Amino acid sequence: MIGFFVGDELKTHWKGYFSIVIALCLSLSLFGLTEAYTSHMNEVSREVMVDIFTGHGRLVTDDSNAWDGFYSFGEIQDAEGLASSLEEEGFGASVEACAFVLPMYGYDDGPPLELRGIHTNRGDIYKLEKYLIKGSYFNDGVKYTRENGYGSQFTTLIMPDRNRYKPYPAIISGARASSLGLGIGDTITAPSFTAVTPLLDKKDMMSMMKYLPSMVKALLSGTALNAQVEIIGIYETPTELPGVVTVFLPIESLKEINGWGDKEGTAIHLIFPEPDELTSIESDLESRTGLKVVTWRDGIRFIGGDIYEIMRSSMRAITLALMIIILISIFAWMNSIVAGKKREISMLRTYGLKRRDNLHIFLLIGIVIGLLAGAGALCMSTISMFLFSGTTIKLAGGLFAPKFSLDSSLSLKLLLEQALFPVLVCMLGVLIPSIRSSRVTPVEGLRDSKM
Amino acid sequence: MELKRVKKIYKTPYGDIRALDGVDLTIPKGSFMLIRGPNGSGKSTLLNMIGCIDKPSLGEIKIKDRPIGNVGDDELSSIRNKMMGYVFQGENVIPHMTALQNLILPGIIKGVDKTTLEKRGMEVLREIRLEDRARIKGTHLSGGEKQRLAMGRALFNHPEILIVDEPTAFLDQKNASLILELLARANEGGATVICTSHNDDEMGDVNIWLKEGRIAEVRSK
Repeated sequence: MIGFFVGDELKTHWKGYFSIVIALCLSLSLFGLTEAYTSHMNEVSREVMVDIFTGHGRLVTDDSNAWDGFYSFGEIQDAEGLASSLEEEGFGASVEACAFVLPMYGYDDGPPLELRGIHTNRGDIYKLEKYLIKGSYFNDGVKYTRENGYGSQFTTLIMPDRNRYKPYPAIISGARASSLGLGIGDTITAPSFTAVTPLLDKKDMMSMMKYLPSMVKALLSGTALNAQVEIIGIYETPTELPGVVTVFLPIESLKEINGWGDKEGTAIHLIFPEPDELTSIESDLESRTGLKVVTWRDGIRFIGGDIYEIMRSSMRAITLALMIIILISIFAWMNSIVAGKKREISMLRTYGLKRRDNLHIFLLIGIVIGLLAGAGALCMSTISMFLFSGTTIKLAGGLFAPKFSLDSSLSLKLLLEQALFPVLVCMLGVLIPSIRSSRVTPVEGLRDSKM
Repeated sequence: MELKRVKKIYKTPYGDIRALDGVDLTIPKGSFMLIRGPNGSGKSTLLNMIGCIDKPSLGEIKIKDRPIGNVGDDELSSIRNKMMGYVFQGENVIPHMTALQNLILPGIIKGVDKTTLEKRGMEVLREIRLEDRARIKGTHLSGGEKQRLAMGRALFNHPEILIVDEPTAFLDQKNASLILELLARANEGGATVICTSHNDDEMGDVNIWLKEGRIAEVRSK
């Protein structure tokens, strides 16, 4: 019975309902497209960051910022011990040592580089070897320290020792190697202020004091004086993103350059056991270790800045505004329908239609147009996604910015949003008119002479 | 059906209007009652009370000895659907629906199945001589056809009580006669017919004259 009246009403005023459905479709497909791409981008970014860039996250000292999350400088005492205990808990954890240098290429100085010391045997965490395009990876099992014949310094300074020591090995990005004209076998000099350079972006001179002991130690040992770094491999990366200035060294080499002890590090690279529960793990880890967790999400913000969030929020705000406009339109439209149908409603009430039947008829109309709009929006989103799916994001290829292309990605969340959101909007829009219609008494509409 | 001291007072910004002012009336089952009176005498209001589509401000209405004052809205709807048939004053036909759809509305609300609806619909359309207009929309029917259709709809659920407000107003002689014939036939079939009229229609076994919301005269044939 209700179906008959719903069908009749939809058929009678189909133009109005069709307009509402189209308006909802257009607004929601915009929303759906944005959400789908955001979700896809999230997925891709997550994959990229998790797989090859930051692992799932890094533990850094509390005074590090998002930038430092990738170029972490603060020293973590007994980093190795902490990494071991985290490994026992199920994390993949590997200590890193990072330093920021203004290197010299021959006699010329060059743009700044981050030297990142990594445990070269942790292929489960670092995928560097996979992305090598030239040269070779560090030798497994070799300790690249002075003890083993590495650690030469720039020859023109005091204690030239090039003949006794080989330069520390390093793997550099393709983009930077290309821009500087460097190739396999070329050397870079990491000048004596390597250990101090973390302070370049710290304005507080007092904070320099905490680095003084390691600096003095490095200077006394002679390793920090213009350490030579030889390029043994080049990893793939096509753009000049900040990340591609990273030069990978064995961690023991960098520690030796900086005069750090065996157990120290500047960051702990982490693979989370439950990556989908990053937020809760993050806060737990932070409270237990007293360190800050920087994850791939911070990485995205770092690369994309707040624009990413602003764009997403803006799209949501626009969609929300459109929804409110549509909701008001539905309300006004349905109100006028109910007012115009007063005599008809009264007549049907006289013939036995119950109050709740009336309410259900209009609510069902809301649900039907909502579902139609949802289905339409879903189709339009899918078509748009399909049309855009060939678009390739040109962060293409390489270690820090691998290639990915936009794909049509329909998630359950999106399906629910697309299906339920318009139903909700339509139901809210028709709610008050429905209640009004159910309150029409048999006698009051009959006073109107016109149908 | 019985009405005891029924009053209906409409509150307006200009003061109360007493549409009915203490009406006592007993309507025997199977009777044909004609309610007459000038404009504003309370004919339609009385019809609304009898038809359970409005409630009295004071007084009591009983149907089959059961007071309907405290009956809930849903039950009243059910009573209206199953026991009563209505023809209203003015526009009676839903313009965007076909004649057949208009006709079967009480059956749809009652929950009658589709086959029975169509069968009964065509049967009634033949009775009211509109079988060739079944698929025509209400808006395209003439005044007389609309009124016949309204009459057919009132008869659709085989009502025990037929409430008809000014059935022959603005109709030509031919259509008016047909309506009166339909009413008489329904009454002969056992339905109680309660009808208002302005005209000097010769019908009904009980004629009631209303004046200023009161029964001024009752005349039985």
